[in-house]
Amino acid sequence: MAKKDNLSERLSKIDNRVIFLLLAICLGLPLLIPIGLPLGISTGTSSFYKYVEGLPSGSLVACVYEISASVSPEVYPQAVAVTAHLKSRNLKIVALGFSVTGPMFADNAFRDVFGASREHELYGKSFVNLGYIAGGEAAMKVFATNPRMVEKDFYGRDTKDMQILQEVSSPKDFKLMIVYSGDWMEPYVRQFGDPHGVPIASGVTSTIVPRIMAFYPAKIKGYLTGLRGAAEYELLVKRPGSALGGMDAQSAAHLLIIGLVIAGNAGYLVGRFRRKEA
Amino acid sequence: MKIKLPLAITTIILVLMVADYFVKDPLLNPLVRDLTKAILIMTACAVGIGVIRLIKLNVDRITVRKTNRLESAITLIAFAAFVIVGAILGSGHPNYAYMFNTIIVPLDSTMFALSGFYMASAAYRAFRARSEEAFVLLLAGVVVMLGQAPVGEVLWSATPSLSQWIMDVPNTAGVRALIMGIAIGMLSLTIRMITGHEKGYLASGE
Repeated sequence: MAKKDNLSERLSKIDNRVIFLLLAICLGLPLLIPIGLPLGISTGTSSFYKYVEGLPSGSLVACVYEISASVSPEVYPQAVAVTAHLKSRNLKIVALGFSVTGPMFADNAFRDVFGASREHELYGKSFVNLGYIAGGEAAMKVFATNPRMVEKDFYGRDTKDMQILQEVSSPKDFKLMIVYSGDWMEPYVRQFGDPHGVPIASGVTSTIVPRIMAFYPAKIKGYLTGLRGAAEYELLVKRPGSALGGMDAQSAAHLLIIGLVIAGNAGYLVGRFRRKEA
Repeated sequence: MKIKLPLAITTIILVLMVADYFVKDPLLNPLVRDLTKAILIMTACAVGIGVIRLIKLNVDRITVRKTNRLESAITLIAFAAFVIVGAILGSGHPNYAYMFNTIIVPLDSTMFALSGFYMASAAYRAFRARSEEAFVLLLAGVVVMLGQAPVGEVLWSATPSLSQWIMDVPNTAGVRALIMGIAIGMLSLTIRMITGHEKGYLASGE
């Protein structure tokens, strides 16, 4: 009897160090020995992909990088997979950031997909990195009224004569705005979507998705959910990367957390039942 | 006057900003655009103030208070290194990118990843079926978690659709209600500010 009581108590009071160790094993092991569990495509990713597929070749796409270093493991793989898709569809990319670190990730994404950034022969023709625009939502509003407000790009070059920007005179020229972020989408809907009719798609962290879904599909055409969204997109564009590799680890970690929750509840319920009995 | 002037400025700016969203006017729209540009300038100034404050706080810690001196010194050295490299070479230079990708990204990602460990521990401790409502929440949480990982579909083929339904229907309904509530709250706050009834933002509010 005492042994049983002990077990229920143990189940409901597992030490933090044990949980951390188990989680580390669950995350580390599948990365070293991948299982390759099958991955389905979710609605948000499928809509995102189809919208990009439906754009006429040569269309302008604004890519807003709101990626901070902390959320980059989830969001950056999305940006790489989507940039690869945009490149394969011959779409023109205007990258910018309303957060300080965003343009650094745009630069990384161009290097990963195009092999180079400002040194590339297509820089300024097929893609450009406008850099950071300070001011948050106020900056969005100013950019929406004049998308050619940025005089120097991220690398300090004059944007005036850049071929890609000759095609931009109003936000309506962007056939799609893709926002990679770990934050809410309302400012983009307010400043670009509603007043100018710019279609918006987003790649965000998993925690933001419940809020994004309130705007889907009327105001947000598609969305990528964290690392899983990135993995699905990698599958769709046939460019396996770090996100697909991380899916097994995510499965193992989720299973562990569910197992812990079940163990905790079993211990709690058995303990409560025994207290009632006594 | 100390109160009336800021109130009058707030009211005028608010009316202009709101009107600009709904009205197309050749006089009003450029005026509001220029006002918005002023916000960008103020934001840039705020960054400058933040930099001065950061330096002052850490220099004080090293020289006057003598607490956490090592941490403050590291902060100042890292800050100086990024500013110097960024100012001389530009933030688009490969050397700056190297510093960013090899210092900031791994450190910040690690900090964020650590929260995953605490979340696992918190989920284990907090997700207890203490009531019927808590049980429903627990069940929904488990289904959505399974739906997010490929293993969910392997365990039971209906998991992704069930998870999607929870996100599409109860979640979206709740979030939309929340957003509407916030919007109505903001609207009433704006009306209070325009009519001069809201004075809380005026420091002392006297």
